[in-house]
Amino acid sequence: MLRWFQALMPKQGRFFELFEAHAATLVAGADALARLLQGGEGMDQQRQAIRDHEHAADDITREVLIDVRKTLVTPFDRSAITSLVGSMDDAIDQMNKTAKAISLYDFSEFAPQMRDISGIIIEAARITAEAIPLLRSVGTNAQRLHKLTERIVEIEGHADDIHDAGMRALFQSYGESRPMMFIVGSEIYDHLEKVVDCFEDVANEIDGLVTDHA
Amino acid sequence: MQSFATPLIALIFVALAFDFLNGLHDAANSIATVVSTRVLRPHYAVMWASFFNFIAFLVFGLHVANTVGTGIIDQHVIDMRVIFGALMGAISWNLVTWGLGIPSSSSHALIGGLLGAGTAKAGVSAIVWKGVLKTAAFIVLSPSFGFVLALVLILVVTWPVSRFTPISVDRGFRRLQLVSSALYSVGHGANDAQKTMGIIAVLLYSQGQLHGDFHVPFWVVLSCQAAMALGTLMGGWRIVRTMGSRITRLTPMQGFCAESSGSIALFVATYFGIPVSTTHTITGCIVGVGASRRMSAVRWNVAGRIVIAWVVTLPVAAAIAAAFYGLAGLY
Repeated sequence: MLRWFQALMPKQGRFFELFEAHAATLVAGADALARLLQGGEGMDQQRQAIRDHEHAADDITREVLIDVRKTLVTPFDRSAITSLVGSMDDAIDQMNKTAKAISLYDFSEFAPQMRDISGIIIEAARITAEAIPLLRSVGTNAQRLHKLTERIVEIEGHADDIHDAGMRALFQSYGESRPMMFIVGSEIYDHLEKVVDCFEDVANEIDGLVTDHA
Repeated sequence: MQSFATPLIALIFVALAFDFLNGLHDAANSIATVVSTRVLRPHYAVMWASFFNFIAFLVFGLHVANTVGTGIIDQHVIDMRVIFGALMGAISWNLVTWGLGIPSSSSHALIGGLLGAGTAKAGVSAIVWKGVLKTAAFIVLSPSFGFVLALVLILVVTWPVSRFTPISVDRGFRRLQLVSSALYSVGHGANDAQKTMGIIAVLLYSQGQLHGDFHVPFWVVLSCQAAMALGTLMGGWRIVRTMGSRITRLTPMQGFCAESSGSIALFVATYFGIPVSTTHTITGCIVGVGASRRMSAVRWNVAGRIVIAWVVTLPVAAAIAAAFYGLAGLY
């Protein structure tokens, strides 16, 4: 109804570019995490890659937070912008924490369920990267965005199931014989699961934006 | 000044009380944004608003008073009983709507009351259709005009200030709000106080107390402006429930745009002699600035209740006024 009005307002800030750049670090980070969980020779390299993506993401987040205070006309409410970029940043932070736990405990015996969850993380990151550019015109893309966020919530449910199955298997193989292996493994599961949770938070933020602005 | 009969004095007093209550009730509209952005403390804000309420007669003519006095019901039909019915109709409907929390307009109620009591006496032929249709159209037009004007003003104001940071824009508009709230108080004082002037003047005319043609004596102008200003002054001492924050939250810039567009809308209406609801006009403006951010920033249910009040007020106030007119005939 008021699209003519929005079209005439000055456009300021590089919020959409920054969101997209941040989403790119999420995809790259998720890919590196999945490769890390393949184990083998390249593990150090992947860990380093995740750390680099996390640093890049931090810089982008900082820029968004500064821009939001300097810009008079923002595409969304200020608080919506900061919480969206905050939730995205939590996702890459959580990937970094996962990688750090793996290196701290020299963990290398990755279960198939762990790799499955990392696959889900890749999918969630890709869906996020697909959704973010659509925010440029929330009104027309409302339906599509709704579908995408719904999909993230759905695969988060799968990740929970895989997590439970993985924990059960871990307990059955190591619960008696190697309790330390069980403890460390469950820590890794916990981290991976939290990454998926973070993407669910991102989906909820996007959903909120759509409801408010469409 | 002449000496008046006791019933006439009583009616003039009731009319002034109506005016006083209008100021009391609307004080919040004028000062809400300056107080909530802490530009002025509440008692300074009410003094500011009531001062500009009072001086409104210096700025505008008396077109609105003429419309209310002669442009709704034929001035020759009007007598003390009609005015009694009209005032009682308007006042009772105001009390009912305040009780029920319906954001109705006391201006619409007054027009409805006049129509009801006038037709109860002399039938439909007493209605001055030109004035009534104009007034009825502006029940909807003035808030809509305010809505659009507020959007345009946001655009016009945003472009030049968009290179500054939000915090400095905030600071600047805090100051400018002093100006916009003063303008709004002038518009409010002009349009609303003149309604009572019209009522009192036509009452005097009907009693043969005006020498010559219908006009508004200066003592009526002064007492009406004073009654309204006093009402505003008293209204500030109550807890201010801001019209602004009930509909949407406002920044100083948005408050400035809402008040400025409201005053422009009121100035235009007053200039053309159209009695409008000041509350509904500023509400249209506030909805406009809210919608400029996003449609969901507006609490539409409050805006929706106002639309209901538009439809109901005229006929109901008219019916009550007619009943009071009949009742007055029993004694």
